[in-house]
Amino acid sequence: MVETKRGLIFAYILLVGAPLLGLAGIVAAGQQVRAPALIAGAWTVECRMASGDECPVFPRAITISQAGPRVTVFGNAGQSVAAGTIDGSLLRLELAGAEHSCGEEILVRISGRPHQRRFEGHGVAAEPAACAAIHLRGVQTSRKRTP
Amino acid sequence: METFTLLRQIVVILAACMVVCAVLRRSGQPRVVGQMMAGILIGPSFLGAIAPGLSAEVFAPASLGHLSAMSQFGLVVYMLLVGVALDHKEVRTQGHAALLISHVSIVIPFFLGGVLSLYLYPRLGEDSVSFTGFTLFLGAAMSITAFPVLARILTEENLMGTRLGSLTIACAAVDDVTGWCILASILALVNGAHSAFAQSMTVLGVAVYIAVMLFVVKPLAARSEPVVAKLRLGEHSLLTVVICLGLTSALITDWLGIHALFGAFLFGAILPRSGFMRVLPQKLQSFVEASLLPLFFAFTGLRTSIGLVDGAEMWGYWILVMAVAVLAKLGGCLLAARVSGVGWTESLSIGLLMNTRGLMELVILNIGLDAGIISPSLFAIMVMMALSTTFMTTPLLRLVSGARVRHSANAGAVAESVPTAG
Repeated sequence: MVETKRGLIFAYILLVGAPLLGLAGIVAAGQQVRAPALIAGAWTVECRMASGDECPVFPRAITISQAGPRVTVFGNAGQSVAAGTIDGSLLRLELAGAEHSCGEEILVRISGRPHQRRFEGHGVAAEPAACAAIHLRGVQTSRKRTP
Repeated sequence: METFTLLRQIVVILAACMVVCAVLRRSGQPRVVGQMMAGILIGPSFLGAIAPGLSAEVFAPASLGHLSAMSQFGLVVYMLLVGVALDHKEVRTQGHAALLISHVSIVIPFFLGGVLSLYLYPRLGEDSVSFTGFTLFLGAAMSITAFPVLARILTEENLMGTRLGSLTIACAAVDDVTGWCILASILALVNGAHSAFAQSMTVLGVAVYIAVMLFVVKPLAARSEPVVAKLRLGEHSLLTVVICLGLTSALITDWLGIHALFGAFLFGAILPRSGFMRVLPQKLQSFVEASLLPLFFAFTGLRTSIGLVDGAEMWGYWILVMAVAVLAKLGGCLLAARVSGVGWTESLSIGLLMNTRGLMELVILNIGLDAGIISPSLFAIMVMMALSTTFMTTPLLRLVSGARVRHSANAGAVAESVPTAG
């Protein structure tokens, strides 16, 4: 317990100064920490089969909702199309209702600045043919933050 | 049609607040808890989930613009009142102990918020915000105390005027001022992040603004009473002048790149505490708290989707945020109060009271969401933390302090002069 002015100054230095120094250290150390790429919002997507035909698994207009690295892709009518996680600049998506008979998964690379993102990648889908190879390309059209 | 939609929204919001406040009042909860709960209930988390059609009809996203504007106006006026209610004398008389407790109660949550950021930034952060901005914001959100609701709880528990009451109020007042200054700095940092020039201009602008307010406007306001008397301005005209100047101050801080609320608060804080200023809160407080603040709570509730806190992982984050928030604020205050020579029970009570976050936390969180510093999922987690820490205060305080202290000679007077919803 502090009863002198000097003691109070010492307590102040210890209880205020030390945590402030610690905070400065955290801020410095945290510069190496990376947050997931922000991709939440409205997107226009082009999904092509190996043959060049349009593939039906992805609607052209989608909305992505995001909670940290976890994302959910919704179609126009609000139906869930796919879900996945972001790891660095890679987005790994699993199509809704996938049966995993041939590893149906889409891997896309995210590029661009926040709110002006793009992605492009390949995957395998169960439709229209089993284990069909697809090519996916997307452009973010707007950012939608609030639920 | 727009007027009809807006009026219908207001009626629904006020009715929901009235019902929830009445229910929660039975368990001794202050009105702010009821209003916060009502906001969540009419949002997507409850009404949107059980009656999506009704929710979409009454609160269609496209129709929320007017509601948002009204709630922001109410909030600016409310912050003006919070500034007016700031008791400079209380801050001075409690001296060193108040200074130590309040500074520790800010710095330790900031530090622990920083530690938490190291874990949360890669999980709930977004790369559009720097780690520094995210950390400082989380620290500010962890360190905030709801000064007005705290005053209300002290009054209702008959603790106003006791050593505990005076010390806590003084700490909360220092907290309030420091917290808003820190938030202003963070906003300057985040908003000017893309240009060093813009950032330095904001910091310089804010410094000049604060200096003008303290060294020019404050002395002028202190000498304004004879002028007001000479001009024979009635109370209504004076009220209009004060609101106009408060809004102008809010406009300036908004233009400077920090939030309008800071300008309103600072203008209220520098106004003289004599004459008309004594009755100003009574003129505005009831209307603002009963009619305008519920709109802000509702607007916050409409933006809060508890559904985003989905799954064990997200609930785990909430538990973590809660634990850090309570440990940092309650623990920090307890430690500092003990070091200052305050007894265990009083120290614990101070910690519990300072842990109340209330409306102030929601204000800060909304600013963070609007500025893109926090994601909607972290926003939902933090709103739940704000609600929980406010909800737990009164029952825990009663548990700790046992029988109520009957020491309320001036409690009624203080209750009248302090905004209560915060």
